[in-house]
Amino acid sequence: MQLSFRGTQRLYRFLTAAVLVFAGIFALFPLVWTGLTSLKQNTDVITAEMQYLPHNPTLENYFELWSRKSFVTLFGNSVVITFMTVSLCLLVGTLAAYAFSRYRFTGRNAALVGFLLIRMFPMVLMLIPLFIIMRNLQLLNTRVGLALAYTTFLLPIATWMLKGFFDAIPPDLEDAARIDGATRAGAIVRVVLPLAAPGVAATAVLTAIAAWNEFLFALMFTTNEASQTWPVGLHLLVGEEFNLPWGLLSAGGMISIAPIIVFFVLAQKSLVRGLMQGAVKG
Amino acid sequence: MSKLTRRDFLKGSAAATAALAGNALPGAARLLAQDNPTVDYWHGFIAEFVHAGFEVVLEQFHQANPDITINPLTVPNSEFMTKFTTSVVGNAAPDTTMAAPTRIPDMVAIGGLQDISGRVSEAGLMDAIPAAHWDGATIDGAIYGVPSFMFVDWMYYRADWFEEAGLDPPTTWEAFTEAAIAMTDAENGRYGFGMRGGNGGQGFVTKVIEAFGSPIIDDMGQPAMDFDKAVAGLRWYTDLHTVHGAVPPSVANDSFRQLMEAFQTGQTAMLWHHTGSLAEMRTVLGEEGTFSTALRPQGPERQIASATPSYNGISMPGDGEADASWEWIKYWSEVDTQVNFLELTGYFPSSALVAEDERVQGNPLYAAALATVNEVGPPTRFPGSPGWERNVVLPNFQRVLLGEITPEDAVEIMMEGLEEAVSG
Repeated sequence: MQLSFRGTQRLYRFLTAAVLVFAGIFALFPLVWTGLTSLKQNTDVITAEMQYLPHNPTLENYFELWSRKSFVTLFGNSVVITFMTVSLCLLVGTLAAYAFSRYRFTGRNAALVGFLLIRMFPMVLMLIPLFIIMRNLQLLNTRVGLALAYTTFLLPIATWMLKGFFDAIPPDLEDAARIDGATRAGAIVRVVLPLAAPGVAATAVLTAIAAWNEFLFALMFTTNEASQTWPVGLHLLVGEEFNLPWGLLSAGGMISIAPIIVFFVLAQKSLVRGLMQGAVKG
Repeated sequence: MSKLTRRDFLKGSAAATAALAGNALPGAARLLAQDNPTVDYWHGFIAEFVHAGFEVVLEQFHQANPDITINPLTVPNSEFMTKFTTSVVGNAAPDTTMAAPTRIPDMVAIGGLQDISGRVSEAGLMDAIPAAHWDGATIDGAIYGVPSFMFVDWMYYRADWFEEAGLDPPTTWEAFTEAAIAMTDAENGRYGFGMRGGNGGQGFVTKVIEAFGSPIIDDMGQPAMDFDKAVAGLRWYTDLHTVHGAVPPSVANDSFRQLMEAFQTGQTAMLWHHTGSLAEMRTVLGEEGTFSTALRPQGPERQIASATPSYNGISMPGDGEADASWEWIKYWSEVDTQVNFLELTGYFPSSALVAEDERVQGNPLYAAALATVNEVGPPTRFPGSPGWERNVVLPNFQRVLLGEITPEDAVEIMMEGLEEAVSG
C-alpha cells in the first residue's frame, strides 16, 4: 500500500516523536531513578525484587547528608571556588578575547593556538608542575589555589568562546560610542558587553559546570578535609566496595546537580541565544 | 555620562582581584608550627563503618599519646598512587601512609617510603607478627611497612539453609560442587554459589588454578603454569555454571556489589570473599543464625585462599616528627588496637598474639580466618600481574562462562599472555 504525501508526513512525524520520546526516557530515566532512590529507606533499596517507587517516601537521606559535619564545608568550598573560577575566567577571558577580536598584532594567531594547546594535554600531565608551583606559592589547601588551577584549563575555552561572540558585534557600534566621547574601556563596558551578554552568560554557565564538577585537581591540591570540595566529598562517600549507602549517595547526586540546574534555569534564555549566536556568526 | 578611563578600569580590576583573594585566604588551612608533633596520615578507610572504626583507633591513640596529634586524610584507592607520586615529587608527601603490598615496590622506587628495619627490630615486632606477613613490605631485605591488618579469604554461607538441608559447609572442592548443586533451586531464583565473573573475578581464577596444583610463576619469576592442572582447575570452576547451573545466570557480569546483595537478599547460598566484608554482613543479616563463615574449600593441592596484609609506612616526616610517626604506625600492630579494629570493622589482625585473645577465640565467626591466616600467604604477584589478570585472565574466563571457548582454549591464551606479561 502506498502512503499519500500527508500520510508519509504523519508517519515521519510519528517516528520522529517516537525516537525523541525514547531518547528522552533513555536520558532521564537514570536521573529519575536516582531521585526516587534518594527518597527510599535503605531497606527498600536492596531487595530481591526490583522496586522502582519508594514504599515509604522519606527525606531522611537528605537530612542525614545535611547533618554530616563536612557537608556544609564541602558545599561551601565548591560554591566559593566555582564563583572565583567563573569570575577569573570572565574577567581575564573577556579582556583577552576582546584583544584577540579587535586588535591585529604580531603573534596573535600563535597565541590563539597556544591557548588551545594547553587543552590538548591530559590534565594529569599538568599535576606535578602545578603542584610544585602551588607548594612554592603556599597555595596548597587554599580556595584561591584551586580557583587558579581550574582557571588554567578553563580560561582557554572561555577566551575562545568569548572571542566568537565579540567577533559577531560590529566594530562600528564601538566607533560610534567613541565619537560620542566614550573611552575604549567605556565602549567595552557600555556597548560591547551588553551586546555580548548572552555569550558571556553561556561562557559563565559552561565554566561553572566544569569548575563545580572538577575532581582531580581538587583531590590532588588538598591535603586536609577542611579544604576539599563537594565532588571529592561525594567520591569519598561513594567509597570503594563495602556497604554502599545508596540512598545517601543518590541524595548527594541530586544535591550536586541542583546548583547547576538552578544556574542553568536562570541563564537559560541567554545561554541558548548565546550558543546559537556563537554558532552562526563566530 | 561619566567617563570610564583605562586607569579606573585597571584600578577596579586590581581591587576586585584583591577582594577575591582576601575573601578566599581565610579558608586556607595551614599547619602552624607546634611544640607537639603533628603526624599526617593518609589512609583509605572510606566505608562508613570502617571510618568509624578508624576514629576509635585515633581516639585511643590520642589517649595513650596525648602529645601527638594525628592529621588524617582519606584518599580514594583509585587515585592514591597519583596523589602520592605527585606529593613525593613535590616534596610534600605525608609523614605516614597506609600502603598496599602491590604498591610498595613503586612507592619505595620513587623514594616515598623509609627503611624502618632498625625500628622494627628494636621494637621486637618480628616476633609478634608472622614472618610471611612482612614479605609484602620487604625489598632487598629492608622493611618498609608494618602489617596493620589482614584481608583473609574465607567463605560466607547461609547457615539457616544448610541446617534446613542437613548439610555441613563443604571443606573440599568436590563437596563444594555437591553443596552448590544441592542448594540450587533455579525456578525459585536461588543458586548455590555467588561466583564473581565480573570485575575482580580474575583473582579467584588464579587462586583456583594454584589450588589445583599449577603455579603461576616460579621462584625466578618466570612463567610456570601447568597446562593440565590449570585446565582442571578452570574446568571445575566454570562447570559450576556451564554444567551444573549452580550460579546465577548473570555470573559474567557479577562483581562485588551484585554478589553481596544477591547473598544478602537470599539469592545465593555461598559466597567467597574475605574478612573485610564481615561488618557489612553483620549489619545486613544480623550477628548469628542467618549466615556464618567457613574456610574456603581445599583444592587438590591447597586451599583456594590467600591472606593479604595492609601496611603502614613512614614516608617523609618533618623535623621532629619521625619518632612520633613511628609511634603511630607501631600502635597499629598492638594486640588491643588490632582486636578493637577487628570488632568494629572485621579487618583481621596481623599479629599472631591475637590468637590467644579471648575476644577472638570466643567468636566462632573468626574461626575460619584464624585457621586460614597462618596457612596461606599473599596472592601471587609479579610485575605485570595486574594487567595480565585484568586483560587476559578475566575476559577469557568470561568467554568460558559464556560458552564461547573451552577451558583448554582459555588456559592456552592465559599462558601465552603470561609469557608476554613476564617478558615485559
